[in-house]
Amino acid sequence: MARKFSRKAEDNAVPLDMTPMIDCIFLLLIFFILTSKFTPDEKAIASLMPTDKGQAAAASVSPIPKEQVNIKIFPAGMTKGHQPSAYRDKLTEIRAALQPGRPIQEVWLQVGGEDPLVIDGSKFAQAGGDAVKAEVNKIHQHIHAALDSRKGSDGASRKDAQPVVIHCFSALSWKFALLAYDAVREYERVTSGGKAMQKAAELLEAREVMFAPPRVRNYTPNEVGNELHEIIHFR
Amino acid sequence: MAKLKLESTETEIDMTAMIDLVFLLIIFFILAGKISSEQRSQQITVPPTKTATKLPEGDRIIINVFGSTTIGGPPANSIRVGTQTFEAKGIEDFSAYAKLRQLLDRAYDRADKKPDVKNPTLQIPEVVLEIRADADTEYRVVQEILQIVTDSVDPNDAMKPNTVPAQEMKPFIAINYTTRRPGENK
Repeated sequence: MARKFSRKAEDNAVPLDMTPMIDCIFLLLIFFILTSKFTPDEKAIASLMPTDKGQAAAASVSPIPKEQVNIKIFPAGMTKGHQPSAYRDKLTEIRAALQPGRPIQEVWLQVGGEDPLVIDGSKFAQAGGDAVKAEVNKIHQHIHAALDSRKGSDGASRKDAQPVVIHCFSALSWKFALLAYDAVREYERVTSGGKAMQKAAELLEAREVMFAPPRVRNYTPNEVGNELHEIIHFR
Repeated sequence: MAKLKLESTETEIDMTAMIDLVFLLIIFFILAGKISSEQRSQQITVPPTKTATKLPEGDRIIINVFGSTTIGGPPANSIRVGTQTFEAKGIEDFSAYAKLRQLLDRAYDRADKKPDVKNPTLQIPEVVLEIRADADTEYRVVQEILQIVTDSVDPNDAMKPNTVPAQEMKPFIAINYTTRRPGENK
Protein backbone atom coordinates (compact mmCIF):
# COMPACT_ATOMS: atom_id res chain seq x y z
CA MET A 1 0.00 0.00 0.00
CA ALA A 2 2.66 2.43 1.12
CA ARG A 3 4.76 1.61 -1.89
CA LYS A 4 2.03 2.36 -4.26
CA PHE A 5 1.46 5.65 -2.59
CA SER A 6 5.03 6.83 -2.77
CA ARG A 7 5.16 5.99 -6.45
CA LYS A 8 2.27 8.25 -7.01
CA ALA A 9 4.03 11.08 -5.26
CA GLU A 10 7.12 10.61 -7.44
CA ASP A 11 5.10 11.38 -10.49
CA ASN A 12 4.91 15.03 -9.52
CA ALA A 13 8.37 15.75 -8.12
CA VAL A 14 11.47 13.68 -7.67
CA PRO A 15 12.44 14.09 -4.03
CA LEU A 16 16.18 14.33 -3.93
CA ASP A 17 17.80 13.82 -0.59
CA MET A 18 20.25 16.64 -0.36
CA THR A 19 21.49 16.07 3.16
CA PRO A 20 24.71 14.16 2.26
CA MET A 21 25.55 16.66 -0.42
CA ILE A 22 25.14 19.57 1.95
CA ASP A 23 27.24 17.81 4.56
CA CYS A 24 29.93 17.29 2.02
CA ILE A 25 29.79 20.86 0.78
CA PHE A 26 29.93 22.24 4.28
CA LEU A 27 33.02 20.18 4.94
CA LEU A 28 34.60 21.57 1.79
CA LEU A 29 33.64 25.08 2.77
CA ILE A 30 35.16 24.70 6.22
CA PHE A 31 38.30 23.27 4.67
CA PHE A 32 38.74 26.19 2.29
CA ILE A 33 37.97 28.78 4.95
CA LEU A 34 40.60 27.32 7.21
CA THR A 35 43.28 26.77 4.59
CA SER A 36 42.99 30.00 2.62
CA LYS A 37 45.31 32.62 4.00
CA PHE A 38 44.94 36.13 2.81
CA THR A 39 47.91 38.29 2.13
CA PRO A 40 47.95 41.13 4.63
CA ASP A 41 46.98 44.51 3.39
CA GLU A 42 50.10 45.42 1.49
CA LYS A 43 50.95 48.89 0.33
CA ALA A 44 53.61 50.17 -2.02
CA ILE A 45 56.14 52.92 -2.36
CA ALA A 46 56.34 54.03 -5.95
CA SER A 47 59.59 55.14 -7.54
CA LEU A 48 61.06 55.82 -10.94
CA MET A 49 64.58 54.78 -11.81
CA PRO A 50 66.62 57.63 -13.28
CA THR A 51 67.12 57.37 -17.03
CA ASP A 52 69.15 60.54 -17.49
CA LYS A 53 72.22 59.11 -15.82
CA GLY A 54 74.84 56.57 -16.60
CA GLN A 55 75.75 55.07 -19.89
CA ALA A 56 72.25 55.21 -21.37
CA ALA A 57 72.43 59.00 -21.37
CA ALA A 58 76.16 59.57 -21.61
CA ALA A 59 75.67 62.48 -24.03
CA SER A 60 73.30 64.47 -21.84
CA VAL A 61 75.16 64.27 -18.54
CA SER A 62 75.54 67.70 -16.98
CA PRO A 63 79.19 68.67 -16.43
CA ILE A 64 78.87 69.87 -12.83
CA PRO A 65 77.45 67.30 -10.45
CA LYS A 66 74.92 68.72 -8.02
CA GLU A 67 75.67 68.63 -4.35
CA GLN A 68 73.91 65.72 -2.72
CA VAL A 69 72.72 64.60 0.68
CA ASN A 70 74.23 61.29 1.72
CA ILE A 71 72.37 59.06 4.13
CA LYS A 72 74.67 56.33 5.36
CA ILE A 73 73.58 53.18 7.16
CA PHE A 74 76.12 50.82 8.69
CA PRO A 75 76.56 48.55 11.72
CA ALA A 76 76.55 50.37 15.07
CA GLY A 77 79.84 51.21 16.73
CA MET A 78 81.87 51.78 13.59
CA THR A 79 83.52 55.13 13.99
CA LYS A 80 85.46 57.12 11.44
CA GLY A 81 89.18 57.14 10.94
CA HIS A 82 90.22 53.51 10.73
CA GLN A 83 91.76 51.31 8.07
CA PRO A 84 89.46 49.07 5.96
CA SER A 85 90.92 46.05 7.75
CA ALA A 86 89.75 47.44 11.09
CA TYR A 87 86.16 47.56 9.80
CA ARG A 88 86.52 44.06 8.43
CA ASP A 89 87.60 42.79 11.85
CA LYS A 90 84.89 44.75 13.63
CA LEU A 91 82.28 43.22 11.33
CA THR A 92 83.56 39.72 12.03
CA GLU A 93 83.35 40.52 15.74
CA ILE A 94 79.76 41.78 15.47
CA ARG A 95 78.73 38.73 13.47
CA ALA A 96 80.36 36.34 15.92
CA ALA A 97 78.21 37.77 18.70
CA LEU A 98 75.01 37.05 16.76
CA GLN A 99 73.20 33.75 16.46
CA PRO A 100 74.17 32.06 13.20
CA GLY A 101 72.08 33.23 10.26
CA ARG A 102 70.58 36.16 12.16
CA PRO A 103 70.86 39.62 10.63
CA ILE A 104 72.61 42.58 12.26
CA GLN A 105 69.92 44.62 14.02
CA GLU A 106 71.90 47.39 15.76
CA VAL A 107 72.76 49.96 13.14
CA TRP A 108 73.76 53.58 12.85
CA LEU A 109 72.13 55.98 10.46
CA GLN A 110 74.17 59.04 9.66
CA VAL A 111 73.35 61.98 7.41
CA GLY A 112 76.53 63.51 5.98
CA GLY A 113 78.98 64.10 8.82
CA GLU A 114 76.40 64.53 11.58
CA ASP A 115 76.00 62.48 14.73
CA PRO A 116 74.69 59.00 13.98
CA LEU A 117 71.27 57.79 15.09
CA VAL A 118 71.06 54.36 16.70
CA ILE A 119 68.39 52.10 15.23
CA ASP A 120 67.25 48.84 16.73
CA GLY A 121 66.04 46.77 13.79
CA SER A 122 64.56 44.03 15.96
CA LYS A 123 61.79 46.47 16.96
CA PHE A 124 60.29 46.30 13.46
CA ALA A 125 59.44 42.65 13.85
CA GLN A 126 57.61 43.10 17.15
CA ALA A 127 53.94 42.45 17.57
CA GLY A 128 51.78 45.42 18.44
CA GLY A 129 52.21 48.54 16.40
CA ASP A 130 53.49 51.01 19.01
CA ALA A 131 57.11 49.90 19.26
CA VAL A 132 57.32 49.73 15.48
CA LYS A 133 55.74 53.17 15.09
CA ALA A 134 58.06 54.71 17.67
CA GLU A 135 61.16 53.36 15.92
CA VAL A 136 59.89 54.46 12.50
CA ASN A 137 59.11 57.95 13.85
CA LYS A 138 62.59 58.19 15.34
CA ILE A 139 64.16 57.63 11.92
CA HIS A 140 61.76 60.07 10.29
CA GLN A 141 62.48 62.83 12.81
CA HIS A 142 66.22 62.40 12.48
CA ILE A 143 66.17 62.60 8.70
CA HIS A 144 63.67 65.47 8.66
CA ALA A 145 65.87 67.53 10.97
CA ALA A 146 68.92 66.81 8.82
CA LEU A 147 67.11 67.76 5.61
CA ASP A 148 65.74 70.91 7.24
CA SER A 149 69.23 72.08 8.13
CA ARG A 150 70.24 71.77 4.46
CA LYS A 151 67.20 73.57 3.14
CA GLY A 152 69.06 76.80 2.34
CA SER A 153 70.64 75.49 -0.83
CA ASP A 154 67.43 73.96 -2.21
CA GLY A 155 66.12 75.33 -5.48
CA ALA A 156 62.69 76.82 -6.08
CA SER A 157 61.12 73.55 -7.14
CA ARG A 158 61.41 70.26 -5.30
CA LYS A 159 62.93 68.82 -8.43
CA ASP A 160 65.95 71.10 -8.01
CA ALA A 161 66.51 70.27 -4.37
CA GLN A 162 69.72 68.41 -3.58
CA PRO A 163 69.33 64.77 -4.54
CA VAL A 164 69.36 62.30 -1.67
CA VAL A 165 71.48 59.18 -2.02
CA ILE A 166 71.07 56.30 0.40
CA HIS A 167 74.29 54.41 1.05
CA CYS A 168 73.40 51.31 2.98
CA PHE A 169 76.00 48.70 3.85
CA SER A 170 75.24 45.77 1.54
CA ALA A 171 75.01 43.06 4.20
CA LEU A 172 72.40 44.86 6.31
CA SER A 173 68.68 44.19 6.11
CA TRP A 174 66.74 45.85 3.32
CA LYS A 175 64.29 47.44 5.79
CA PHE A 176 66.85 50.06 6.92
CA ALA A 177 67.39 51.40 3.42
CA LEU A 178 63.67 51.43 2.67
CA LEU A 179 62.91 53.27 5.91
CA ALA A 180 65.42 55.98 5.06
CA TYR A 181 63.76 56.28 1.66
CA ASP A 182 60.38 56.46 3.36
CA ALA A 183 61.55 59.27 5.66
CA VAL A 184 62.77 61.38 2.73
CA ARG A 185 59.48 60.82 0.92
CA GLU A 186 57.53 61.92 4.00
CA TYR A 187 59.71 65.05 4.27
CA GLU A 188 59.04 65.84 0.61
CA ARG A 189 55.33 65.29 1.04
CA VAL A 190 55.26 67.80 3.92
CA THR A 191 57.50 70.42 2.26
CA SER A 192 55.70 70.28 -1.08
CA GLY A 193 52.35 70.87 0.60
CA GLY A 194 51.02 67.34 0.72
CA LYS A 195 51.90 66.13 -2.76
CA ALA A 196 52.26 62.38 -2.69
CA MET A 197 55.05 60.83 -4.73
CA GLN A 198 52.89 58.21 -6.30
CA LYS A 199 52.15 58.67 -9.98
CA ALA A 200 54.84 58.92 -12.63
CA ALA A 201 54.08 62.61 -13.26
CA GLU A 202 54.44 63.41 -9.55
CA LEU A 203 57.68 61.47 -9.31
CA LEU A 204 59.18 63.38 -12.23
CA GLU A 205 58.50 66.66 -10.42
CA ALA A 206 59.78 65.43 -7.07
CA ARG A 207 63.19 65.50 -5.47
CA GLU A 208 65.51 62.76 -6.55
CA VAL A 209 65.99 59.98 -4.01
CA MET A 210 68.23 57.09 -4.96
CA PHE A 211 69.71 53.93 -3.59
CA ALA A 212 73.44 53.95 -4.27
CA PRO A 213 74.56 51.22 -6.70
CA PRO A 214 76.72 48.34 -5.42
CA ARG A 215 80.27 49.32 -4.49
CA VAL A 216 81.96 45.95 -4.52
CA ARG A 217 81.62 42.97 -6.76
CA ASN A 218 82.91 40.12 -4.69
CA TYR A 219 81.70 40.07 -1.15
CA THR A 220 84.90 38.74 0.33
CA PRO A 221 85.78 39.97 3.86
CA ASN A 222 88.43 42.35 2.50
CA GLU A 223 86.15 43.85 -0.14
CA VAL A 224 83.39 44.27 2.43
CA GLY A 225 85.89 46.05 4.71
CA ASN A 226 86.65 48.42 1.85
CA GLU A 227 82.97 49.02 1.28
CA LEU A 228 82.40 49.88 4.95
CA HIS A 229 85.39 52.20 4.94
CA GLU A 230 84.05 53.99 1.90
CA ILE A 231 80.49 54.37 3.25
CA ILE A 232 81.60 55.57 6.68
CA HIS A 233 83.92 58.22 5.24
CA PHE A 234 81.41 59.64 2.78
CA ARG A 235 80.22 63.12 3.67
CA MET B 1 -4.90 9.83 2.40
CA ALA B 2 -3.88 9.77 6.01
CA LYS B 3 -0.25 10.13 5.07
CA LEU B 4 -0.77 13.14 2.91
CA LYS B 5 -2.40 14.94 5.79
CA LEU B 6 0.58 14.18 7.99
CA GLU B 7 3.08 15.63 5.51
CA SER B 8 1.31 18.92 5.32
CA THR B 9 1.97 19.56 8.99
CA GLU B 10 5.73 18.96 8.63
CA THR B 11 7.72 22.14 8.11
CA GLU B 12 9.69 21.85 4.91
CA ILE B 13 12.79 24.00 4.58
CA ASP B 14 13.72 25.06 1.10
CA MET B 15 17.43 24.50 1.01
CA THR B 16 18.04 25.70 -2.53
CA ALA B 17 18.91 29.23 -1.50
CA MET B 18 21.28 28.05 1.19
CA ILE B 19 23.05 25.67 -1.14
CA ASP B 20 23.42 28.41 -3.74
CA LEU B 21 25.02 30.60 -1.15
CA VAL B 22 27.32 27.91 0.19
CA PHE B 23 28.46 27.07 -3.34
CA LEU B 24 29.27 30.70 -3.96
CA LEU B 25 31.29 30.80 -0.76
CA ILE B 26 33.22 27.68 -1.74
CA ILE B 27 34.00 29.05 -5.17
CA PHE B 28 35.14 32.30 -3.58
CA PHE B 29 37.50 30.59 -1.16
CA ILE B 30 38.94 28.30 -3.82
CA LEU B 31 39.66 31.22 -6.12
CA ALA B 32 40.83 33.61 -3.41
CA GLY B 33 43.22 31.01 -2.07
CA LYS B 34 44.62 30.44 -5.53
CA ILE B 35 45.03 34.10 -6.38
CA SER B 36 46.85 34.98 -3.23
CA SER B 37 49.29 32.12 -3.63
CA GLU B 38 49.90 32.72 -7.32
CA GLN B 39 52.14 35.75 -7.26
CA ARG B 40 52.61 36.65 -3.61
CA SER B 41 54.62 34.29 -1.58
CA GLN B 42 53.50 33.88 1.99
CA GLN B 43 56.89 33.54 3.60
CA ILE B 44 57.76 37.18 3.09
CA THR B 45 57.22 39.80 5.78
CA VAL B 46 57.56 43.17 4.12
CA PRO B 47 59.08 46.10 6.05
CA PRO B 48 56.93 48.82 7.66
CA THR B 49 56.88 52.37 6.28
CA LYS B 50 54.73 55.46 6.76
CA THR B 51 54.28 56.96 3.29
CA ALA B 52 53.11 53.83 1.52
CA THR B 53 50.00 54.09 -0.61
CA LYS B 54 47.59 51.56 -2.05
CA LEU B 55 49.04 49.24 -4.66
CA PRO B 56 48.19 50.88 -7.98
CA GLU B 57 46.18 49.09 -10.65
CA GLY B 58 47.66 47.99 -13.93
CA ASP B 59 50.15 45.54 -15.34
CA ARG B 60 52.69 44.42 -12.82
CA ILE B 61 55.35 41.82 -12.32
CA ILE B 62 55.90 40.86 -8.71
CA ILE B 63 59.47 40.00 -7.82
CA ASN B 64 59.45 38.14 -4.50
CA VAL B 65 62.80 38.33 -2.74
CA PHE B 66 63.24 36.04 0.22
CA GLY B 67 65.16 36.97 3.30
CA SER B 68 68.33 35.06 3.89
CA THR B 69 67.13 34.25 7.38
CA THR B 70 63.63 33.03 6.59
CA ILE B 71 63.31 30.06 8.89
CA GLY B 72 61.94 27.03 7.12
CA GLY B 73 61.60 29.05 3.93
CA PRO B 74 63.51 28.80 0.70
CA PRO B 75 67.30 29.14 0.91
CA ALA B 76 69.29 32.34 1.05
CA ASN B 77 68.82 34.99 -1.60
CA SER B 78 66.20 33.39 -3.75
CA ILE B 79 64.02 35.37 -6.09
CA ARG B 80 60.61 34.16 -7.17
CA VAL B 81 58.55 35.57 -10.02
CA GLY B 82 55.23 33.79 -10.53
CA THR B 83 56.08 30.12 -10.42
CA GLN B 84 59.73 30.52 -11.35
CA THR B 85 62.36 30.54 -8.65
CA PHE B 86 65.89 31.77 -9.21
CA GLU B 87 68.22 30.64 -6.52
CA ALA B 88 71.64 31.93 -5.76
CA LYS B 89 73.89 29.28 -4.28
CA GLY B 90 75.60 31.76 -2.05
CA ILE B 91 76.34 35.44 -1.94
CA GLU B 92 78.71 35.33 -4.88
CA ASP B 93 76.50 33.45 -7.28
CA PHE B 94 75.11 35.98 -9.74
CA SER B 95 73.36 33.57 -12.11
CA ALA B 96 69.97 34.28 -10.52
CA TYR B 97 70.16 37.91 -11.63
CA ALA B 98 71.02 36.94 -15.20
CA LYS B 99 68.01 34.60 -15.26
CA LEU B 100 65.80 37.36 -13.88
CA ARG B 101 67.03 39.61 -16.67
CA GLN B 102 66.06 37.02 -19.28
CA LEU B 103 62.56 36.89 -17.83
CA LEU B 104 62.35 40.69 -17.86
CA ASP B 105 63.56 40.76 -21.49
CA ARG B 106 60.67 38.53 -22.49
CA ALA B 107 58.19 40.66 -20.51
CA TYR B 108 59.61 43.79 -22.14
CA ASP B 109 59.08 42.41 -25.63
CA ARG B 110 55.43 41.66 -24.88
CA ALA B 111 54.59 45.00 -23.22
CA ASP B 112 53.24 48.21 -24.72
CA LYS B 113 55.98 50.84 -24.77
CA LYS B 114 56.35 54.60 -24.76
CA PRO B 115 59.47 56.74 -25.19
CA ASP B 116 60.94 58.03 -21.94
CA VAL B 117 60.25 61.60 -20.87
CA LYS B 118 63.81 62.45 -19.86
CA ASN B 119 65.67 60.31 -22.34
CA PRO B 120 63.62 59.73 -25.54
CA THR B 121 66.06 57.18 -26.94
CA LEU B 122 64.76 54.73 -24.38
CA GLN B 123 61.47 52.88 -24.82
CA ILE B 124 59.76 52.35 -21.48
CA PRO B 125 57.25 49.50 -21.04
CA GLU B 126 53.97 50.25 -19.31
CA VAL B 127 54.54 47.65 -16.66
CA VAL B 128 55.23 48.20 -12.98
CA LEU B 129 57.82 46.00 -11.30
CA GLU B 130 56.91 45.33 -7.72
CA ILE B 131 59.87 44.44 -5.56
CA ARG B 132 58.43 42.48 -2.69
CA ALA B 133 61.46 41.91 -0.53
CA ASP B 134 61.47 40.51 2.97
CA ALA B 135 62.38 43.03 5.68
CA ASP B 136 65.52 41.03 6.46
CA THR B 137 66.65 40.39 2.90
CA GLU B 138 70.25 41.43 2.56
CA TYR B 139 70.31 44.86 0.97
CA ARG B 140 72.81 43.75 -1.68
CA VAL B 141 70.17 41.53 -3.30
CA VAL B 142 67.80 44.46 -3.79
CA GLN B 143 70.73 46.60 -4.90
CA GLU B 144 71.65 44.10 -7.59
CA ILE B 145 68.03 43.75 -8.73
CA LEU B 146 67.71 47.54 -9.07
CA GLN B 147 70.76 47.45 -11.35
CA ILE B 148 69.37 44.59 -13.40
CA VAL B 149 65.92 46.09 -14.03
CA THR B 150 67.18 49.27 -15.68
CA ASP B 151 69.33 47.19 -18.02
CA SER B 152 72.18 49.64 -17.72
CA VAL B 153 74.59 47.01 -16.44
CA ASP B 154 75.89 43.71 -17.72
CA PRO B 155 73.51 41.13 -16.18
CA ASN B 156 76.45 38.88 -15.34
CA ASP B 157 78.42 41.61 -13.65
CA ALA B 158 76.63 44.58 -12.13
CA MET B 159 79.88 46.55 -11.89
CA LYS B 160 80.28 46.67 -15.66
CA PRO B 161 78.06 48.89 -17.77
CA ASN B 162 75.91 47.25 -20.39
CA THR B 163 77.57 47.41 -23.79
CA VAL B 164 74.38 47.44 -25.87
CA PRO B 165 73.47 50.77 -27.47
CA ALA B 166 70.78 52.75 -25.65
CA GLN B 167 68.16 52.06 -28.33
CA GLU B 168 68.43 48.34 -27.70
CA MET B 169 68.24 48.50 -23.91
CA LYS B 170 65.18 47.09 -22.24
CA PRO B 171 64.76 49.18 -19.11
CA PHE B 172 61.94 49.00 -16.61
CA ILE B 173 61.81 52.21 -14.61
CA ALA B 174 58.54 52.13 -12.69
CA ILE B 175 59.43 50.32 -9.50
CA ASN B 176 57.19 49.72 -6.49
CA TYR B 177 58.58 48.59 -3.17
CA THR B 178 56.03 46.52 -1.29
CA THR B 179 55.61 47.53 2.30
CA ARG B 180 53.04 47.73 5.09
CA ARG B 181 51.86 50.30 7.60
CA PRO B 182 53.75 50.25 10.91
CA GLY B 183 50.61 49.42 12.89
CA GLU B 184 49.72 46.36 10.84
CA ASN B 185 51.48 43.17 11.65
CA LYS B 186 51.84 40.00 9.79
